[in-house]
Amino acid sequence: MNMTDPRETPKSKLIEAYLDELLALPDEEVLRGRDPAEIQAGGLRLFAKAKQEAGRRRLAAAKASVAQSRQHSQVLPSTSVTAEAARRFLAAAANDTRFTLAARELQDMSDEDVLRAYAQMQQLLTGSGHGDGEA
Amino acid sequence: MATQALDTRLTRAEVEKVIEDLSPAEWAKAESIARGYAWGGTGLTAEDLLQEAFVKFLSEERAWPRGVHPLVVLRVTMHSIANNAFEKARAGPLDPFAKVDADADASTEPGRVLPDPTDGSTPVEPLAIKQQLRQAEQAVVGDEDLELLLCAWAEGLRGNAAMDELQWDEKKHDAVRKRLTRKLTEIQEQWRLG
Repeated sequence: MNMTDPRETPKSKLIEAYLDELLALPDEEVLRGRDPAEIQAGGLRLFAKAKQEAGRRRLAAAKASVAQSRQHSQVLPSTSVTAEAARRFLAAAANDTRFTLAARELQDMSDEDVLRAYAQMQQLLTGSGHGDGEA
Repeated sequence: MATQALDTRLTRAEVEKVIEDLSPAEWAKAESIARGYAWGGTGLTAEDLLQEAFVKFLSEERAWPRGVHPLVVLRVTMHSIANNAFEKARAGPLDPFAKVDADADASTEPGRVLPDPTDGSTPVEPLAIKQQLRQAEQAVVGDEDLELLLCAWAEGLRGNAAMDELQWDEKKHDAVRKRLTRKLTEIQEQWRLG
């Protein structure tokens, strides 16, 4: 195996050469003077610790992802949708029984509120948000 | 297309099975690989390094390629983790390349270089690379063939290149490289001290 690296030092070259030779050694040579059961038990103990740590990291990543989703649902949408287009969409949605937005409420909403409501509704429709459909 | 891409990687359950099925000899080799890469300058013990490699696959930070021998996968991963740790340590407040006078304390064991007791800012003070190499050199001192082959390996000369340089035939080269591998394995315990 060639693990060449431009930053190689004599030590790293020595290590690579040694590891290549080690991996080619027969099993009985590697285990000489050692208890195979003890080696395996030690390895599995280390692996059990790794599983716990991996579980902690996955949970931390999941929590961070949920927190990020919540943050996105409160952020204004991108400017690719105009307030006018968002208003037209919401007006049509007022007739959709899935949403509780009344037409007159829409008239009183600022552009910013309209765009926010539009974003929330989009998230509900794509199933990626936690909104309750009310704007 | 996405399914094909996923098929080239083991699932988490498959990774767990592969690791749990490692033989004692494979575990011993994995430990040796960890000791080799944790040796000096990384701030990691061999156990840290091997555990971190497992964690990266189980937490799916890295993908385990299907069809590749476990020891190859673990070796590449540990090499990467160790390199990153070394670069991080190198960028830190301490200079891992700072020279420490190994001969200053004559009462130390041969080949053992003690960390600087005046610096308590890191748990393991990185040793100068030349001094780490000295640990290996001192293990073979007095055996000319082992000394020569060790030098050849440190220069990146392997196989035919080493034989040509040392003017050895294949039989001699085979015998000496096996002895050197055994000798370096014997001194591995020292490498845990980083």
